[in-house]
Amino acid sequence: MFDDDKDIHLSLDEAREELRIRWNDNNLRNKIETEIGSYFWPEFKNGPRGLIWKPIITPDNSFDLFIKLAEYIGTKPLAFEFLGSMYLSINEEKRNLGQLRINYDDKNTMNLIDLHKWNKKKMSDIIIKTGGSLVDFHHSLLKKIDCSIEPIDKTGWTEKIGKPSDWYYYFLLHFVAHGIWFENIEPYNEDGSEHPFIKDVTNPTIQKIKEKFGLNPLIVRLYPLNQSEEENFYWWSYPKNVNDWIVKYAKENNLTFKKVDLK
Amino acid sequence: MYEPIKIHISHDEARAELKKRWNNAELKSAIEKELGENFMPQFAERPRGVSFRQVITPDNGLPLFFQGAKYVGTDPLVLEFHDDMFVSFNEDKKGMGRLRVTLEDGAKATVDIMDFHANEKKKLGECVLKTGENMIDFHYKLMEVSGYDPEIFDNSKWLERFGRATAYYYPFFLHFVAHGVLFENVESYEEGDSGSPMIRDVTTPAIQKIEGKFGIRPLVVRMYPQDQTEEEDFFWWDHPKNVNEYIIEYAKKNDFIIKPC
Repeated sequence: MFDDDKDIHLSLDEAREELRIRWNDNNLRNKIETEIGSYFWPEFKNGPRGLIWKPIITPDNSFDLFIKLAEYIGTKPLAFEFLGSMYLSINEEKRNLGQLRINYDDKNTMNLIDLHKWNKKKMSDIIIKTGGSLVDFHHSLLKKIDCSIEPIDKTGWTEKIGKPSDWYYYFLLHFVAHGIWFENIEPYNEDGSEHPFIKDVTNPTIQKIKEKFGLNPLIVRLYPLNQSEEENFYWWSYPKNVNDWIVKYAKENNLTFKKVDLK
Repeated sequence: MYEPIKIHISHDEARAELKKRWNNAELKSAIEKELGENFMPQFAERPRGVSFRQVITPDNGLPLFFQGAKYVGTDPLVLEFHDDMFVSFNEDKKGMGRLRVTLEDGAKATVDIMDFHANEKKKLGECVLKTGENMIDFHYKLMEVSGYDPEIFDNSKWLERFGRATAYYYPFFLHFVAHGVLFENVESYEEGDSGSPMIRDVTTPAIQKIEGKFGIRPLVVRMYPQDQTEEEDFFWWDHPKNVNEYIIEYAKKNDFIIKPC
């Protein structure tokens, strides 16, 4: 767990107040920028930012929440993606990019890609069943919602540094004084076991930042803890306008729905 | 002696606390008994997240409320008050007829879709726009454009049972002790000064009465941030992109003046 056994996530009001203090501390910001050096994201230079970081940006309900939470906190919302990452059908977040959760009469899934064929392939290489790129499909969904955000692919940035365990320090430093990261960092899996990446990478990185700057990075939850299955489905599914468009698209292209039975 | 009290809690606190209270059958039953026939049936079957607005409109606060209500584990419900009176000196009410928009170049502007003088002191449900259409129908049309579909209910009859506004705060807040979460900013509670007369004389005593009787406070989550810049204030009055575009088209079609701020 984290250094003082306190939840790393802040409430909206805590994050808003703390970021305002830290952003106005020029000395702190300069120190952070010096530490990050050439790995500093230029998008974080001119004002406080709220960041969502996903393999591919898609406007599901948690993204819709993110946009307004970022505004609440007083930040400009930014969406970074990692198109060079590998599609893994066992990873729920990645699987859902190819297997959409759709409300149509009832709760359904709809396979946009051949999950088996594209397993372990690069996100940016994946072609959907109708022929276009998976990335383009999700980006086209962004046009259906209240969003002027243009996703920025940070694959090059990660490759410049190396392994996730190497770039994570520079990644998290951006949230000490320049912005808020919207993400859920849950140290334990559902079965009670410790999450290896959090144990081996996230926690030591946060400790390192705390020791060096005396501060934690600012992180706000993107979806609630302890969700019911219905809630879990909700946060992966889409706002009504987007959902309706996907249903129409699926029907026009003979993509099939599969009913989901939630316990 | 008036003492401001802290009332707002975070989304995570509201979620955890509501789960406990909703599952406390004894507490829920005590609240329902206290409310008697004034218990709103919308709260009987499932926990509700409530925004209380005279008339719903899909400004930028609406998605935050809608998704925030889902986050705390509730089903979003908008309670309206169509029988309330339109008075243009009230900023919230005037905002129903003076819409904030963002132009293509990012400039901020307002559009007056209503003759304020002609509608002064009319019931909100009877207010008409310059085009002749009913004001509430117009805002409902904006809701359709937005795509957000919370349950919407005109709660005028319930509110009118109590006569004056001073009488309904206690039963209203009781619904948020164990049955739901209210999304609202009740700033003066925390100002440290004497607050507005309404806050000092009505809302604070209503909350204190609940606390005295049940030992806990209603669950209230902020609807907007505190200490906003002018730009932020405009943002929360302004609308999501698709609604904003609809309003600008509507203004152009009807030759309404789009006035830069």
